[in-house]
Amino acid sequence: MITYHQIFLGSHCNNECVACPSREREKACELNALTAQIDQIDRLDGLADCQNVALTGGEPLLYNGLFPLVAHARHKGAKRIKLVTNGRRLADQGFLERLLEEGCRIFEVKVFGSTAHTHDAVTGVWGSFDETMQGLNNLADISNFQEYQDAVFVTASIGVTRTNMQDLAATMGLASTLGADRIVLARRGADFPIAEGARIVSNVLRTATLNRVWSMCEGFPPCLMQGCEAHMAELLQPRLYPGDKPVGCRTCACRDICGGPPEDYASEHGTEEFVPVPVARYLDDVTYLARILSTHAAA
Amino acid sequence: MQQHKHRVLLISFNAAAHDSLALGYIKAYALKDPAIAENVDIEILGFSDEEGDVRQALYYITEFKPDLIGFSCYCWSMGKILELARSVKQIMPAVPLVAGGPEVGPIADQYLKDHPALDVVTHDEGEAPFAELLRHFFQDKGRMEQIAGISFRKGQEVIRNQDRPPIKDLDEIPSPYLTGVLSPRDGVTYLQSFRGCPFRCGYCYESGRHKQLRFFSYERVKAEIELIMGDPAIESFHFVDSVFNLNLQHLRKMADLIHLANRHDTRLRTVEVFTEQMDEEATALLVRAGTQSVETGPQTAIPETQKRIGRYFDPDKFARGVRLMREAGIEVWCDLIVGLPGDNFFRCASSLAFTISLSPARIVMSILHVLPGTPFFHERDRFGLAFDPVAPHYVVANDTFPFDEIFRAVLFSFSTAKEYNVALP
Repeated sequence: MITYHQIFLGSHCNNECVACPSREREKACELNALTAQIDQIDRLDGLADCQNVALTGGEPLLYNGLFPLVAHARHKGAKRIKLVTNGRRLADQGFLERLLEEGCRIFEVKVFGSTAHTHDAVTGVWGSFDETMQGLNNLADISNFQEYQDAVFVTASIGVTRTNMQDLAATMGLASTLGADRIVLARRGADFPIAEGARIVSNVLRTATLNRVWSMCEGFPPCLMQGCEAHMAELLQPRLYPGDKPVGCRTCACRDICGGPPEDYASEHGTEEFVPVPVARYLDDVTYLARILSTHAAA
Repeated sequence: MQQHKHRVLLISFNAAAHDSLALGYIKAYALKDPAIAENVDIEILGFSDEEGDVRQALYYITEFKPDLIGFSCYCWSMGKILELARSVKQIMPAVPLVAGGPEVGPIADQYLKDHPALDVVTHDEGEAPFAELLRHFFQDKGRMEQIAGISFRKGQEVIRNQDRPPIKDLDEIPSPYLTGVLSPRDGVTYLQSFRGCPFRCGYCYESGRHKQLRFFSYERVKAEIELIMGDPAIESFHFVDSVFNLNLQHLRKMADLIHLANRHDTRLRTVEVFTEQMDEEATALLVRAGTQSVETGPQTAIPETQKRIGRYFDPDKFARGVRLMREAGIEVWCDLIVGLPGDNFFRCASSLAFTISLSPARIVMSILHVLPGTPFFHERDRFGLAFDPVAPHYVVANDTFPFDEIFRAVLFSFSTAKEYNVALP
């Protein structure tokens, strides 16, 4: 819903996640090149999405020029600076306090399990779980300080993989106990049956709602998420897809608001799991939302 | 030998530690009567709704030993007031307990039937009936049955007197600030230049009331402004007017009054504006008035819903108004309500997306309260509204928005608004 201009700081990371999309990209970007990227953001001082900058990697907290970069973004008018991080360096409370002072208030922390066994199996680094949990704990603690009350926003981004699929409910529970403001369950990789993943994710989303935590999913199409459409990131930031569809999708009620079966999955497993939706009562409203978002993007 | 003065306590639990302007008016109006001023001590006791504790208030009451207690009742404070009234009645059964305000007035008889601790409830504006009650209780003047604008308990029976027309000339109510009833304090001082609202929004108490707007004289408002802005310790103050930019003429007058009195760079904060009406001239007038921040809709950005709930909404004019104010350096706070009839989950998401696209300084989310006296309350069947009959009257469902969707929409929109509002200054 709140869109961020993404700044990729390089693929350097202290985790070794198998399904990481940035592993093959350049190691570290030059600070000058990154500040130039910020300078080039059109109308940084104007529309909402241009005031929002997300620093990604790799692991952005390992980037040497992080603080000068954040200072530059602030100087240029950025109001929301988000860090998409594995959270391990946040275990250092002094480092976290410095980040907050510099103006980083929005954190998207990647979590892969409720135990070290599961989390570290996905990250490929023994000990990463403890540091990430300490980081989340520090974020929760600091939010209790008067100065930062309601001034820090934390998303727990749970990557859904074959390894942690049976641990998702417990991971969500852990993240909500640690005070996450939002939980995102994002499909990572195509090595598990997507319909089975969707069933588990749907249950986790319902449980999160019972726990009064807002939760969303990414990478699962509406035909597999019936009853949980409100939680779909793709429908809350919808695009219109007027083009051709795979044969199986041509009769689907969602065909204009869905990109079809995820390509990475369909190329390996086919499209049999994807069944056309007969009726989508939210269709007009999602289409209207897409129009509002595109009107804004064009403004 | 000096005669014993009767003691009256006026109590409110206020949101965000503000002073109660309403109780200031009640006291100032009562003291206008020399006989009351001579024979009755009236004290206003304000608690913060968040931190105020019922037993703390009870302790104060036992120390003060009042002869009558008045409560200022809003949906957010009703739970505490009823708890306090029940306790007071246990230990001071002879002390009359009078309730007034928007939460109780429209359903006065119901409150008396349901809550035996309350003795009297005022129907609408409280100034005149409360003064008459003081005369009745402390000067033996008039019978309760003759006091227009109240319902009261007589034995097992609830008696409803005729309604009282609102005070036509608002200057009949002395200024609580100019009379010293209220002391202006920084950030929590409210003023009012008129009563009523030209709009008829389905959720709002004002829309269910008097059609006519009534104004305090500009001379009176000017004197209040000069008093408040003459104090260098007051860095900001508020107007509670339903629409501060009611029309250009009124806005121009108010901006002039404030501008000419502003010797210490005092700021005007969080006034309500009708944004579709904001053009370059109106924006310049807000700046002239030293406006730091305004609060405005859209409540929902769905035109169909707006029409259904009785609001005027033009998305283009609204967006332009927000932009003009923002560019003039005024903080714009945009309000959205979850649970309106006509909306649903994805419509709430659209409203949020629309509002975010305007880059307001802050987004303020709330859940619909179906308040007594509002069109929604009266026409609940037409909107399929289900809500808690007990204050704060949260909506449970309506004919387009089932509860599970409302619950999800609340989680989603409050979370998104929090992310939006952590913006750096």
